[in-house]
Amino acid sequence: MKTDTPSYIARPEDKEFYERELASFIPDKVFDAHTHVWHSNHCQFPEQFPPVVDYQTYIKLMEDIHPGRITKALFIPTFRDPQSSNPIRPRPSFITDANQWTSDQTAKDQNCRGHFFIKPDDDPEWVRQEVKRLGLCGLKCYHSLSLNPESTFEAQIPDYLPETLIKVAHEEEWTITLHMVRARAAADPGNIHWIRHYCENYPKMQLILAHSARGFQPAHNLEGLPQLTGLDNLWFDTSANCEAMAHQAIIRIIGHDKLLYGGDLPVTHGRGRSLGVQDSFLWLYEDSPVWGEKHQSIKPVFTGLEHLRSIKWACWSENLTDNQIEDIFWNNAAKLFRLS
Amino acid sequence: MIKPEDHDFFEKELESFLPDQIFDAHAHVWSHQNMLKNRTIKTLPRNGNFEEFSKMLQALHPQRTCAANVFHRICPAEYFDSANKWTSQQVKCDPNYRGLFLMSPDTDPEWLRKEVNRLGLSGLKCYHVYSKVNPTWEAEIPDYLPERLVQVAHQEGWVIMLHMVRPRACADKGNLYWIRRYCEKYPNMKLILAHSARGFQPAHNLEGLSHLRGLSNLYFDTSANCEPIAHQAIIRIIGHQKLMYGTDIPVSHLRGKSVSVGDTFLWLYENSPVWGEKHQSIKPVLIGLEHLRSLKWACWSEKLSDKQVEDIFWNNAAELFGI
Repeated sequence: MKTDTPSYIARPEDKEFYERELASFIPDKVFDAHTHVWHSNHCQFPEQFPPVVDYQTYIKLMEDIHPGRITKALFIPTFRDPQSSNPIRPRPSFITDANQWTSDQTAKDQNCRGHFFIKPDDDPEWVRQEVKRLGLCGLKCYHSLSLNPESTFEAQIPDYLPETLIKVAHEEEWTITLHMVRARAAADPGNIHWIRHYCENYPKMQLILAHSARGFQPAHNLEGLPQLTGLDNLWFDTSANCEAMAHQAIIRIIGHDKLLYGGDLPVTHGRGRSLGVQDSFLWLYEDSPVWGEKHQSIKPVFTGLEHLRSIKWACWSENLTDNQIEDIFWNNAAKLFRLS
Repeated sequence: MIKPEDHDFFEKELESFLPDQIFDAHAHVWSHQNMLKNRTIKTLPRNGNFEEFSKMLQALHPQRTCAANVFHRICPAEYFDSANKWTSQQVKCDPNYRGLFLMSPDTDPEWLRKEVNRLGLSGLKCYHVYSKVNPTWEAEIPDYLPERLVQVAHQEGWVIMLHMVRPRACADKGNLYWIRRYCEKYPNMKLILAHSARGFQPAHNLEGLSHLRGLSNLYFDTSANCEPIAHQAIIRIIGHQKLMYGTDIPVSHLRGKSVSVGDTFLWLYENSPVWGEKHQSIKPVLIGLEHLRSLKWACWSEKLSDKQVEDIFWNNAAELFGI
C-alpha cells in the first residue's frame, strides 16, 4: 500500500523483528565495514532513500538497524548520474564530488575510515596523492567503470581494478573493497586467479571481498573458497548478503577472523532480501509482486535486518563464541583499519 | 519434465551427495478422478499411479534405489474412499512402499481402524483444510487431528503425518502443547512433523524445537522445505536419527523454492515474476532439487558422516516403517 511516509522510515514490523531476532545477538560495538554516504549533487537515489546522507544521518539511520550500539564505519563513495545512459557510469565530476563527500564525512570521526573511488584508467601517482590529500585509507572499484563498457557483469578483475593501482595500494598499505562480478563469483577461475595473484604479489595491500565474496549464491563460496585459503591479506565483508551459508562458508573455510560485518547503506534500508536460486541469485524488493501469499499478506522488513539474521544463523551454525562474534562486528576491523 | 538446467544442477550439486538408497517419507499419489478440476497441474501426469510416481521419484534421484511412504493428494472429502483405495493399490505394487490414510477429523474411530487395516496402510494423514475452523490455517491441531483418532493410532502402532499450521508453526504454544500431549500420552503412535516441522521460516524451529526434546515417538520429514537451517535445527536440537528425507511429490516437480522472510515465508514458482534479474535471466530448477541442496547444506553444516546422511535418506525411515 502506498503511503506518504518514505519506506526508509522504520515500521512496527522492523522494530518487532529487531527485538525478536537481533536485540540479544548484536554486540555492543559495531564497525560497519561497507557502507555508503552521499549527497544529491552526485547521487540521486529513488525517493525511498534520503537525498543526503552525511556522517550524522548515517549514525541516525543505523539506529534502525543496530540501536544503542557504538557504531563506526568504512565509508565508500557512491553516485548516480541521472543524465548518463548508465547512472553508475557517471560524468567524472560525480566521482570527484563523491570522493570529496566521503572524505568530509570520514573526517568527522577518528574511528571512521573512507575509501577513494577509482576508475581503471586513473593515473597511479594521482591516485596516491588524492587518497592522501583526502585522508582516506584505500580504494573502491566497481565493474560499471570497466574500460570496456559492454557486458561489465562479465568483467575480469583487472578490467576495473588494474595491477598498477594494486601496486600503489601495496606501497601505501591500503585496503581495497572489491565487489566481484562474473556469474560464478568466487567459483570463477578468472576471479580466483586474479585474487590470488594480487594478494600474493602485493602482500601489504589488504583486499576485502565485498558481500561475503559476492556469494549471494552460497554454492559459489563452497566451491571456490577452498582455492583462496592461506592469503593473509584477504578479507571479506558480509554486506547485504542475506544467505547464512555464504557467511558460514567463509567462517569455516577461511576463518572467522577474516570476516567483517558490513551493512551497505542504502541497501540496509530497502525492504526485502537476496536469495540464492539455481546457480545464481535474485533480489526480492518491496515492490516485487510476491508478498501476497495465499494465507497472509507479508510485510517485508529492512534488508539490513534480514542480513543481520543471516549472520546470526551463520554464527549459530558454526558455534561461534560471543568473543568470536565480537571479532566479526568489531575486532577484525579494528585490527585491519588500526582503530584507536 | 526434466530440463537441461535440472541435469546440470543435479550433476553439480547433488550427484556426489545422494546416497544409493532413497526412502521418500512424504509423497503424494493421485487419481485425476478424485481431484477437483482446478487442482490439475498441466505439467504433471494425469494420474500419479505407481508407475508414474516411480518415474518421478527416479527422475529426481537417478540411478538410486527408491521407495516411498505415500498418501493421496488433497481432495474433496467425498472422494476419500476412492482416494484411499487408490493409495492402497499403489502401495501394493512394491513391498518397500508404505501408505497413509487420508482422513477427516470427524471420522468414526472404529470405522477408521477397520479401514486402515483393511487397506493395508500404515497410519494417518490429516490436513487443516478438513477442519471446521475458519481460516483453516489458524486451526489448532485437534481441529484436524482429534485425540480419539490419535488414540487409535496408538493402539494400532500407526504413524501420523502432521503438517502443522498457525503462523509460527513449532514456535506456536498451542502446537507445542498438543504435540507434547499426544506424543507423551500415546507413545505407540509415531508422529511425523512434515516439512521439517513446517519450518519454512527456520526461526520458528530455532525458537520452538527445544520444547519438543525427549519425545521418542516424534519424527520429522524434510519435504519441500528449501531452508537449510530448518533441517539443521532438527539435526542439532532433536537429533539426525529422527529426520527423514521427503520429496512431497508432486511439489518437488514444480519449479522454484520456498523462501523465509520476516517472521514468515513465501513460495517462488516458475510463473512468479522474479526470474529476470538485471544481469541475467534465471531458469528455476525443480523445487525437489533446491530442496535436496538445502538438505546437503544442512548436513555439511552439522558435519554429518556419510553413514548419518544415509540414516536421513533411508535407515531412519526403514526403522520407523519396518522396511
